[in-house]
Amino acid sequence: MNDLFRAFEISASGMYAQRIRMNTIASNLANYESFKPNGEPYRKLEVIFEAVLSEERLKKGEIPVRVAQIRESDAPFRRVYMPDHPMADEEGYVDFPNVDLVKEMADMISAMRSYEANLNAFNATREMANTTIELWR
Amino acid sequence: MDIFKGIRKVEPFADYTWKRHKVILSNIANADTPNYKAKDLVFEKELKTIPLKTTHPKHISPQKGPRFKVVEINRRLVGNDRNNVSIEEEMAKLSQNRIAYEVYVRMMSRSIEKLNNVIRGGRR
Repeated sequence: MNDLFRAFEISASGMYAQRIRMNTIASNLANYESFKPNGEPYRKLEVIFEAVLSEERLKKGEIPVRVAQIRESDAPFRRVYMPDHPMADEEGYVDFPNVDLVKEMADMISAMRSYEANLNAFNATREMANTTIELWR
Repeated sequence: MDIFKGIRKVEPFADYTWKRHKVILSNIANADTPNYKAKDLVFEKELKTIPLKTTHPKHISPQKGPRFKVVEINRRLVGNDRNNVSIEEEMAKLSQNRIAYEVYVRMMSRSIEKLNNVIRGGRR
């Protein structure tokens, strides 16, 4: 029975990881022009995935995924000439967050598709388990 | 006479497809994991197991270990994160494997039905 549930766990871990990724993308988009309370520009958040590997798991081929780290990107800020902006420096430039809209949108689609793939796999597992349970009848 | 012979024959295949299903799930879950390599489950080459006689209690008879093993798929890298999972291929494998599993399970249930039929003496 444990064996059965582990299959669900694998797909669930994938769905969870993609959802976390989706959350950070949403945060990045929402904070496209935000500043931190200390006056620094917001930094784009990046999610790093990691396969949960162990000798035993590798032998069985049951490898879930987990979010290893969410880190702030150190990509350069967007410098925009805006002399009237309260955050402008002496030359009239403002450092805006290093969020790239196009990249975020592309990432969002990728996360969505991966989530759907995991969801489909989850449903397949459910239906397979159902046919097994029907052996009872 | 082994009345469960029909089921026993199918069992390893059902077992294999279920385990392979989990390997495919792992690939799908790790489709965006850097450095992850796609895996698959294959039948291990049948070991030439000679039926050895155990004449002493401390003799070990050749164990029936796992007959499948997990292998990494050699495929050209598809991403710049060194991940070589092809999600389309995995989804295709998933549905193919699922159908195979259902066939095996149905074969099992058929042989149970046959047994039932014999037990009832062919009557309804």
